[in-house]
Amino acid sequence: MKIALAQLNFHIGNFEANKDQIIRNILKAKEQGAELVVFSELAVCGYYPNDLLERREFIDQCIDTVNQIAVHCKGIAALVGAPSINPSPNGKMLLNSAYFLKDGKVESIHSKTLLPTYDIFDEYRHFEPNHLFNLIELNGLKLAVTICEDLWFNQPVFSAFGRENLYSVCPVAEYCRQNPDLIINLSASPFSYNQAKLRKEILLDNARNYKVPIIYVNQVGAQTELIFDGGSLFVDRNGDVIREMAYFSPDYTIIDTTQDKVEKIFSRIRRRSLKFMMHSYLELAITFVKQGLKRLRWDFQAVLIQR
Amino acid sequence: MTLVLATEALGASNIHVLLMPSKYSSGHSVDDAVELAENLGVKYDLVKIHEIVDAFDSTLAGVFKGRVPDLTEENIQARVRGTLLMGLSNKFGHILLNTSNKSESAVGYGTLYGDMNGGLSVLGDVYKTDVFEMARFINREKEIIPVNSITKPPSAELRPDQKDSDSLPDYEVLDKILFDYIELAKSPAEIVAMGFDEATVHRTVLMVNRNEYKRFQTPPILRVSSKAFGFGRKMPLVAKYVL
Repeated sequence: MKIALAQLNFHIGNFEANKDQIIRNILKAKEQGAELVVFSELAVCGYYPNDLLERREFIDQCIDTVNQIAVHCKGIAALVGAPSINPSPNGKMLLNSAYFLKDGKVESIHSKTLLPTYDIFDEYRHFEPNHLFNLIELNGLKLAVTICEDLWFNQPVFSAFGRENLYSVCPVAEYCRQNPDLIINLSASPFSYNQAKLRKEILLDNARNYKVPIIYVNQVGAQTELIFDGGSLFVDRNGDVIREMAYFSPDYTIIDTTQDKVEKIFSRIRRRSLKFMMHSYLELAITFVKQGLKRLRWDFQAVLIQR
Repeated sequence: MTLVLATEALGASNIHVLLMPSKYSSGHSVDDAVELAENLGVKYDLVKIHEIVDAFDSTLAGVFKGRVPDLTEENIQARVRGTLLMGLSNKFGHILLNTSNKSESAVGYGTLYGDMNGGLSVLGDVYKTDVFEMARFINREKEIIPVNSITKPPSAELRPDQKDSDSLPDYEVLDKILFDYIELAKSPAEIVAMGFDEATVHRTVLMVNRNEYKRFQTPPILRVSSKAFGFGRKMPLVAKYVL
């Protein structure tokens, strides 16, 4: 199956701009013969909107935007990240979801099971954990849709008082009981220089342990204090990286799940020398300032316009 | 370093530098700053602050009668600079970039409403020793950052012959202790067991804990590590507990 991976820079609450980017990429992927296009976590509203998620109007706009995007998904399917309303009367109002768009409408909704609350994360503040593990069937393939932290059932432990299993449910195990052909992960993983390598290893471990290929789509850009470094991946069932996308800049690629085994394209060969570390550090810092300042400027302008 | 990164990110034409020497600023630190601005091709203005500082001091002289000059007067210099910078921010619509690094931010080596001002902290999650490393990397082909500003002992220059090392452990030692304590959540006892001087470890940890109130008031810090100061590190402001 030909699948497009869209690694983009979204702006929180800028529904028009986010929607335009998403639709443009859907149409491009369709033109290039892709059957599915994958976007990152909460792409429609930007990650992380914090307490904007408590506003009815904000959620209405998220859902409206998803429906407007869905109209363009004819002859191609898409997975788009956005909040959805929790159908259960109990628990938090929202789910952190991936909308599966097909035939011009929302075909199904698949939500995040593991909601991190450590360090900079505060997702259980707004979202209810998912407990349904339904696969998607698309053109003969069974797809398991996960969101970011869902791959992090086994946590890295940094201190003696750290814990490897922060969660009681393992969504990847739940899905893998149903033998999916592919795991898709919509992410918004912030960068840190001392954890960049680890994140990749966690992904590869998941593929190896469950013997399933993984598509991982991250975003780029900066939001508030965080920077997102991209580096989206397609990993085969042996945990070998088949495709690695650009770091710190938007990128787009199409993979073919049937052919890419022989292809093996790396966007960049990366070595862990001091020089490389410093270079990536600088690259990061520069991107950070660039994105951070632009964001700040936009935000200030937005405030001024509202006045 | 903040200036170099900002210039790289936004382009020299979008940067405005204000140099504000006081009577304690060494001649070479002004020269180094001018040279850096010229190397980068950014617009800069130089204003001397000693008359404003003197006006503050004489205004408060009656209130402070019988007390010797101390940290108060040092901080007033930093606050005069902070006020002038915010003046530029207002007048031109600029965003003031905060220049504190993580080592300073960790131990509270900065003045609230002075050099801790800003709309965004660029280096607040980068330790001082890493800032030096970055500076050497930037200079690898050509001297962009005057090498003197990298090799001379770090100083706030708020009193004659002041050095950071008067108040703080050497950054080589300090940064290692801070990384173990902040990023790796090690206890002071564990850090001492790794071979660090006990008194230095305890003093460092005490400084980190006592300065939560300052960090609570700092600009947003761009996060580059697994544990940055900001919304990913939540600590009480008032506590009778020293880890």
